[in-house]
Amino acid sequence: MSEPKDKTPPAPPRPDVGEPDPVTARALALLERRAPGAVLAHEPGGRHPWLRVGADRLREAARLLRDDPDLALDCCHLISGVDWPETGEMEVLYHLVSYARRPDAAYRRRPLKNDPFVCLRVRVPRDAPEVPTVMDLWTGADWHERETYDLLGIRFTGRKELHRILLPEDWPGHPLRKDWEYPADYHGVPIIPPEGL
Amino acid sequence: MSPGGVRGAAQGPGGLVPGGLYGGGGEPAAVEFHERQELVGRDLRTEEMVFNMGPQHPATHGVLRVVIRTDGEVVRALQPHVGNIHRCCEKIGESVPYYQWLPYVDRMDYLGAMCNEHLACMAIERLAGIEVPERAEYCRVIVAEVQRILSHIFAVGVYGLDLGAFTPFLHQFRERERGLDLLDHLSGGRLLYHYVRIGGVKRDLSPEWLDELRAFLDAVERRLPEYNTLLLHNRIFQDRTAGVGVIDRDTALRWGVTGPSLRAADVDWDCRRDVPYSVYDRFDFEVPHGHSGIAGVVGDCFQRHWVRVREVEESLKIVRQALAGLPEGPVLANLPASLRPPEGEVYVRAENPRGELAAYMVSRGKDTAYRIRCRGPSFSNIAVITEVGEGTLIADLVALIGSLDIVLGEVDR
Amino acid sequence: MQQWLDDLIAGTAWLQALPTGLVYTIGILVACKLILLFSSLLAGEVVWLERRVSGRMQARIGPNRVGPQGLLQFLADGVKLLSKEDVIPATADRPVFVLAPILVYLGAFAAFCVIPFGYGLVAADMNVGLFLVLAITSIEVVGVIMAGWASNSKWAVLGAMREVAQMISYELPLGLSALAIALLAGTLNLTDIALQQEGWLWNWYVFRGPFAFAAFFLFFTAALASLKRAPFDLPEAESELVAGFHTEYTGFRFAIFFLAEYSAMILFSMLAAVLFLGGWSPGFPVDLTGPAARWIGFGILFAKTAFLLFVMIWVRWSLPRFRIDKVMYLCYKVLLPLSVVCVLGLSLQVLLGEVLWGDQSAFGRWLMGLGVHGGIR
Repeated sequence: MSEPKDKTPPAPPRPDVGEPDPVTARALALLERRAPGAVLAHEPGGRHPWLRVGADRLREAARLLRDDPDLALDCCHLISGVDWPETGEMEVLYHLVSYARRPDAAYRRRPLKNDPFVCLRVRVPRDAPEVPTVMDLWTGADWHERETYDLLGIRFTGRKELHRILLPEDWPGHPLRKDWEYPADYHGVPIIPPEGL
Repeated sequence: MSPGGVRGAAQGPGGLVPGGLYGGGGEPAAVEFHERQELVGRDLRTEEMVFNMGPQHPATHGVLRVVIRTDGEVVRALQPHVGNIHRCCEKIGESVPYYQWLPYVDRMDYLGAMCNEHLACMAIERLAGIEVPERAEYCRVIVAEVQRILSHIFAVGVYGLDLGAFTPFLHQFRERERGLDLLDHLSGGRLLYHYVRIGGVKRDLSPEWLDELRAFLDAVERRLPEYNTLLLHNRIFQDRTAGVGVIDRDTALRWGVTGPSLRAADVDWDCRRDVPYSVYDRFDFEVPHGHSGIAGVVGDCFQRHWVRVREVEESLKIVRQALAGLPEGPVLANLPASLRPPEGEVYVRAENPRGELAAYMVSRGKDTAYRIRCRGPSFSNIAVITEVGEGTLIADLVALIGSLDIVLGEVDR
Repeated sequence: MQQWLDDLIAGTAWLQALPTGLVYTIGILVACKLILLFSSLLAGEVVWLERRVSGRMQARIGPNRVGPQGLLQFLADGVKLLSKEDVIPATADRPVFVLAPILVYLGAFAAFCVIPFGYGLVAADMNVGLFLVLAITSIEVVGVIMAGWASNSKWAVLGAMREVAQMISYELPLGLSALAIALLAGTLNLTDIALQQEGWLWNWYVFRGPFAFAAFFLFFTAALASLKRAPFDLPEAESELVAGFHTEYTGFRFAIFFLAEYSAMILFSMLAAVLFLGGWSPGFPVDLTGPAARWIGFGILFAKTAFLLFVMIWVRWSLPRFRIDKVMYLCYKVLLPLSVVCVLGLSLQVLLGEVLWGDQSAFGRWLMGLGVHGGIR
């Protein structure tokens, strides 16, 4: 195994703050100017700055970010879903990147975040997780949305039919939900959960 | 029966599947070959035919299934279906400690295992705030670039195979075999290495190994013109690939195509240079992109092939520079037996042979991640054939899929 | 053949007691059996040659275990294929499915009966020999489309469609470039065509002027295409159509397709050698028509055939595959016009030679001499 013999404690983690991320700050300014009230909360700096918008304003915000010539977030890099059962919420994160705007040398040397992505996140209630689609803005979001639906059961509305992508159509439940239980069997094949899971 | 699924769907007179070609997960669409009786005693008529290309098909590079609707040889519509080798990488990542998750990462893109490990370790290290020794960073770059060379020459050879040229495939295997031996000698595995570890790498590079590596680099450099004679500069190859499967800049960005395919669409972007991670900012290399100046148009299969060939040359440069600047020192940081990163989240991306592998990771201070989400570049790259494959010939579709160089292990994860 | 049998009957007392028709029948059956044996054994060896040559080209070894240098590999392969399960798909059209490989093999094998293996070493010395070869080999198309259709598999149908499109198209340049030689020879009898090329090297039809020279390459290219050899192997393009028309065939039925392909390769190589490369002529004047010498002639013809086979294999393992539209383009826009030009040019050459010099081949020689002279300069 990779851990060495002596159990010295790790170096204390670097303070996770740093100065605000200019790309996220620009996105925030844009949204506050063009869509006031859309941003519900935000984290300005650190390793992973983000902007939280309401599900109803997501498409508006996403379109603004995509069409802004300064940001030019022309690619939806990844759509991830996270389940938060404690707060009864589910979260969808959109990591948007730009290929038209290359970061300058100063940005590339930033210690905590040198990747000029913008993270847009949406929280929806866990019992009825519905998020409007961004497939018409970035076509590639199609499969990411399908996968998020498949594994977490978050429904994306306003798009063409939403099908499972990785699992069989009749698979019980959405496995990445925190309360998902292993089914006893699938079509008569017994399922033995791995030890410790 | 799933809503709108194609399973057991009756064949309409038009030969189309009701509900579109948008089928569900794993089961093949039951599309009946049109009844012979239909053709008897009627006027001659033509109809479109629905093919199941895969999951067992020589040109789908694994278990990709593409349902295509053809008019003769022309593909009118197509729908890729994935998920046949879904191995729950993300679910496992939430269930096992960080250390134990690393071997699973190898298995996503099994032709770029070193690069996968590199990214996964980077994500965990950033999450936990671990400093990696400098020599370890150099070791990582060296093995990742060797992996890229292996992956690209494999892609080049397999692409020849897709186009019916068998010989380049076996020629590249001669070098690939040496490279696999090289990584085998370092890590003990030929395909799945588990060499890059959290906080460094498993073993130090020995002087003998470095000599072996130099011989390998020379061999690849010597043989590369041979592959190009057989493929890149071959007239039939150019005919087959130039102007075929054009993914233009806009289409590529909309679909999230990354890696060599994106660069072939004239997007000058390489994570190693533009979002430098590890010690890539210390090396001098070019990012091939756009038109090759040999044949074809920007964004076609030929440019994608050319970008890969050029990237092999650039990787050779990077490895040589890394060898020249290899510092002394430890290769593994001191870490606790149980890694518990502080609460937080991180998003990391890296340039893999097939495109940008990215990982979003959430920690809540436990020894297992709360959520791990991986972006397999092939996942986004293969989706684009839905749009680009329309109106091509079946032979061109094979050329297109081959030129995207997908690994299904990464699509399904 | 008939000559032989007549000689045999005249020389053997007990044969004279039998009805002549019976002797002929038995004689022809024996000859057929010999040809069958020859073509299938040779096809097996060509498979060996292909695998060894491709192995050498691809930095590997190839079969070298069964027999000396692996020469008996085809026997092992045959045993393997024979012992495999013979699967006929449930939805297949059974009689057609069964008949198809036989028909395909028939097309490749039956044409051997008019090919002279040496002077007098021919089963049926017909006046329409060349025509018969081209006609019989076309039967293969029928067999292929039967195989594709009867399999009830989409890939097989697609492969069969490609095959039919390709073979029917390439019959045209193939036939035309063979016709060009018929124009020069003034006969369709293959033995006569071979005999006309005896003597020095420049008597070979391939060296009778630029048009004949071009016709050889046209013939060879068209033959490659109608043999479905790479780079024209679209009907069975393994990376596109799985295995094309024989996707659903297994075991010995598959072996018959395989055998037919290699028999046809030998056939066309021999035909090209007879038509263009002087038949059994070694390139200098020597009489190879004697009862013993004709076997030397057979050896020479065989060497030429082997060379052409090697070229076919060489091409196959060097080049990627064409796309269907490029194949059709090559046929109708390149090969067909060129072969028409060859036929016209050769007719003109024959005509001018007869009018000006009183010798139909004189003008061609003059043209060729001019070409060689220019080439050397």
